[in-house]
Amino acid sequence: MSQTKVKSVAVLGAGHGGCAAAADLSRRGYSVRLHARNASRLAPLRAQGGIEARGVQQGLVPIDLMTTDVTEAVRGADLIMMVVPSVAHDYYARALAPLLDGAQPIFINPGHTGGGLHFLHELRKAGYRGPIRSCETVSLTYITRMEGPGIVNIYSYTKRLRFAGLPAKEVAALFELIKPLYPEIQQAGSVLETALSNLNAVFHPPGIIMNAGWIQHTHGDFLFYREGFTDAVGRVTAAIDAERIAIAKALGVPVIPFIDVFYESGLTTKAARDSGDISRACRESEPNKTIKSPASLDHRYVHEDVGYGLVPIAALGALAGVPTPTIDALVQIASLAVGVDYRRDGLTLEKLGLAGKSPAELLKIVEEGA
Amino acid sequence: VVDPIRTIAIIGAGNGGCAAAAQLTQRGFQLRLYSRSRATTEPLSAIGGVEYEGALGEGFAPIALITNDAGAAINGADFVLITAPTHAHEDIARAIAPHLGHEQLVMAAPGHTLLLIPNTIRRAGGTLGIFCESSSLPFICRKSTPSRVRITRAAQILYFAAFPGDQIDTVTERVRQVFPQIEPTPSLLHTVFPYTNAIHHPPALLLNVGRIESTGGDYHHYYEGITPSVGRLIDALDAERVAVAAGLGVKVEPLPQFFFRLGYTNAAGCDGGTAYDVFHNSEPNRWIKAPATVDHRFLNEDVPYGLVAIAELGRLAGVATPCADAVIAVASIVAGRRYRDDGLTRQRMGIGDMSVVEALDLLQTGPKGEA
Repeated sequence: MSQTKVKSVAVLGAGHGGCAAAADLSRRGYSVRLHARNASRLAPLRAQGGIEARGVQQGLVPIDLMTTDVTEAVRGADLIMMVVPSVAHDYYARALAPLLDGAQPIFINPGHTGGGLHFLHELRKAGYRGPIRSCETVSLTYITRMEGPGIVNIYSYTKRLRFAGLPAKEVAALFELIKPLYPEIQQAGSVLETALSNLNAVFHPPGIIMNAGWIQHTHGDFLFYREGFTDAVGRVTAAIDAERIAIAKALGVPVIPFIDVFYESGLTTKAARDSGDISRACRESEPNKTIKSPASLDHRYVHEDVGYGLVPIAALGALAGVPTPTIDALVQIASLAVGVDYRRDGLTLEKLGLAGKSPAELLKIVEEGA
Repeated sequence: VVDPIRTIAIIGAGNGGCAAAAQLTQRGFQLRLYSRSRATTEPLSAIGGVEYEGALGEGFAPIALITNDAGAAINGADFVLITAPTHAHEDIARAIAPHLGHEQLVMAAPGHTLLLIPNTIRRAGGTLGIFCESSSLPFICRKSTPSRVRITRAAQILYFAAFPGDQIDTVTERVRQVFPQIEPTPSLLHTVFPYTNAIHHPPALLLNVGRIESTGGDYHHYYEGITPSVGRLIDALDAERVAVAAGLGVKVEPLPQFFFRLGYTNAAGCDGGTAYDVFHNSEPNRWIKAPATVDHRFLNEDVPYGLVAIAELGRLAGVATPCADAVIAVASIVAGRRYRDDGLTRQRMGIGDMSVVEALDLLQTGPKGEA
């Protein structure tokens, strides 16, 4: 299957992201097969004959196929798109291992830091021996939320998303394949580059953890960026960013300082960027100025950005021999504050399939997919 | 036969020094009050003593000698009482070293800096007889003006230790003339661990950094700032404190029981068993405001002289302290200071590369090769 154009997509996962993708792509003329592990997920969709969309797409969107059978969903699909949290990777790896032919492309949306490597590791554990052909974005391609059973609001497409392929040698072909679906994606050199470009992991965790008391006492009744990113929070964010950049440098991966990306994405002023002051850059962020704090710590700023951000970034640091004292400290404190052991539940070197690997071996896996 | 204590040199004229001056004057001791700083002594000299109010009543304690001359304060004193914050211990020890005699009893209140004071005195060429310390200041107090101190209450629990530890019985008898409530313990290790400020001040500040800097600390530090998540971090630090102490053969009460005995929380707070319960049921702390800035003793004192000491003693005991290490790391970035290097390392505590057995032996019997 060396198709040059995607017409049919198997969307695996029917949560916020999966429903958004199914509704959006169906409305845009793709043939979508939507898979959920649980029939109860699909029941309200079946009852109303599709997904009720709001925002970018409007109205009831019929879906070509809704199923709890993975085989039925992926058979003959031009693209498999996994829109599930990392904890579901082992389920889909076991289901897909007997079905993959090494050519059918898999899009892990989103991959955060190391999603593709984790999925590959799970596939190998499930007995799959063929080549991998996956790609990923660092964040979900949609800003979206379910507003009720079968109702999804797609606020917007995510802008300027870093995109990479695993193996890296396939990235150009995979980019051409996915670009029509998501024109906002930007091609990166490898999944290591997207992994280490996970800026949400750099600033969300210090932002939420160093305001944990304020959040819990007021249920987040303050402006997260304007009021929460004070000088000291900015200093901790800068220390995390410096560790991230040091890891990238040690692995020979190009990454851009947080504050430059923030500026280039139109999120802050030139004066703030030139000052080098992350606190100021966040406080002077026009698009973020009215954004309220999360109402609780039970939030993706911790679950995602620590477990699938800081934890795998620190793991790559360990592999590269780069110390990450600030990241480690924040992971530790976040784990206690939230009551989740992120160093166990997050993406560790073991889960990335990288335990005991050298930097050279890592780079080979990333380049060759094996 | 107990050697009588008649003349006391109080070293440090801050909150604690002034409160001690008020109480010990009431008890009839002859006092000298020393501070390094003229700005501190001048208002006191101007009125010839210290005014006080609160738990000891209201009144004026005349002090015969208020001075910036350590020698004048110490010469002829039976008892030298250091009432300075821990981060001043080293400078204070250097200042008094040349004037000390073997027969003088030196006490730090609070101490909990292990051998920092004795070693600094010796290294500065001073003569030190017996050293002793309490785990906390004997008062809860604060100066309301440069010459007036408000004493909220006298500490109900004052753990007490001597160096060398084997002198504890004689020393306790002598010091009870000054502070009758002291509870003797076997060694200076036992007065290190009850320093509970170290485990609740830094996390309560760190997990509210944005609020402190954004609002200038306009909220109630304990009641509103110590939420369930902040409480969990305190609980984890407390567990490390208790474990490190146990690793060195020291039994300490967990925070809820300790604070209940101190009267800082009620039965519900104690029975809840978590720091969140303790502080949410703490009537004495209910209305205390948060620090106005992160440049505050909750970090500057309680991290380098509290958490660093616990983490370092953990290394000695072979007990891991991942939470303390994490809080030290983040606090250092928040404050822009090198707390780990500048705090109470084992080196500065005077137990350098010793094994547990060597350290315990030193604390029990004192330096080798001394008469």
